[in-house]
Amino acid sequence: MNINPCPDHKTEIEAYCCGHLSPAQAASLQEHLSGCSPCSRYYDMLIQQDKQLSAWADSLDSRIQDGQNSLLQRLREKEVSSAPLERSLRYRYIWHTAAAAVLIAAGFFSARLLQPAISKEQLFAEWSQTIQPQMEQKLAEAVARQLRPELLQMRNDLADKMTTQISESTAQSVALSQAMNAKLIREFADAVQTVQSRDRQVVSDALLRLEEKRLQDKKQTQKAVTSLALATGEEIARTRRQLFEASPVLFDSSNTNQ
Amino acid sequence: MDERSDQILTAQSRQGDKTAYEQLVLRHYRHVLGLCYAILMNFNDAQDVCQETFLRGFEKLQDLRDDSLFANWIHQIARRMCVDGLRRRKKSQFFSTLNEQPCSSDGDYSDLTTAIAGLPDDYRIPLVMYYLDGHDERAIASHLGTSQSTVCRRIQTAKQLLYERLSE
Repeated sequence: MNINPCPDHKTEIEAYCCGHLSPAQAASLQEHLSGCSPCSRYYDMLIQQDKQLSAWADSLDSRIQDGQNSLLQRLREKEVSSAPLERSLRYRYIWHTAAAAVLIAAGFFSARLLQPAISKEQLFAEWSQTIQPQMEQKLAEAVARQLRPELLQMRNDLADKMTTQISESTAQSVALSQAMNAKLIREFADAVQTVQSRDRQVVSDALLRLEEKRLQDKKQTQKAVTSLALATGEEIARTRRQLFEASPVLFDSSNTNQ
Repeated sequence: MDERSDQILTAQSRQGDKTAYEQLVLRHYRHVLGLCYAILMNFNDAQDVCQETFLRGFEKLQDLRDDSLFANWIHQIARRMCVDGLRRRKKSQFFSTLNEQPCSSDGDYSDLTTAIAGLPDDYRIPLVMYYLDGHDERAIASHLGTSQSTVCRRIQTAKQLLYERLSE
């Protein structure tokens, strides 16, 4: 059966199956799928194939694990036999060279001793003056030739190891330094926040006390004003009485005039 | 999971640290196996080639110039060995099955594996790698030299082709 989705939505459905759509795009597509049969059938087919292929891959898991374990075992067995053989071949060459030098020396002495009328002293004098220096030089060259590549390799390996270790320890130091900086910044921010909180509390307490003082002052002022008003009223009344007692006529005539 | 990069593990492996190379194997085995199986379409042969790839990689670590490119390098070795294997398969009995025949131990999935084997390379390889290696589209795109969206489209197209073949 052919399944042909809308050309405009085919790529979108495939991206949706791969998880490449944003939530908004996915919601828009789902709305389309709910109203479009060809696209909906195409999407269902892709999901069904995905399930079947996933089940097939899962069925291979144990065999894959066995293969991986087998490889690891082979690698462990392989490593042990490789390096020492090379080194033994190299040192064997040096021993062979030394053995050849000894044989040459033995041959020289034998040949000379077989000749008539030659003393041991003459023989050793000839040996130490001519043959021995040449043999020593050749032996030294052979040893240097064999050891040089190994020394170079060792030097390169040490340099690589040092570079790797320096890189790793630098990365670790940077990471540690960044972690410590982050910690210090957090502690500083916490301290600032604590100080700010404390300051806010102090200010708030001060404002509260000011408000209380203000209210207290207001009450006192009101009380004083009331007292003053009463006192003033009494004073005014007393003064009127005194004036009246002093000049009742004046007080009467002034009232009549009004 | 080991957090050292491929670059560090490769450098340490070259210096004789066997546990470092084992970590590289654990990290890349399934991906290489997916590639081998996608090319050879025989699981036993793919496992053999995958193992030989890593063993050869271990011997030839000195040839790798950029340690950060271990993944691409080991894939190239695997691909060459698969191509050699296909060539030998045509000529001799080195591999256990004939060309493009699924392994007899595929069991319930023999129809599916036969259908997968019949897909064109451009669709079969990303499809098999995707399902054998935990759906890592980015890694597949990197190894095939293409984009993630292209890998996605090819996988979905492969599914449609499989559906049509299995429905016949």
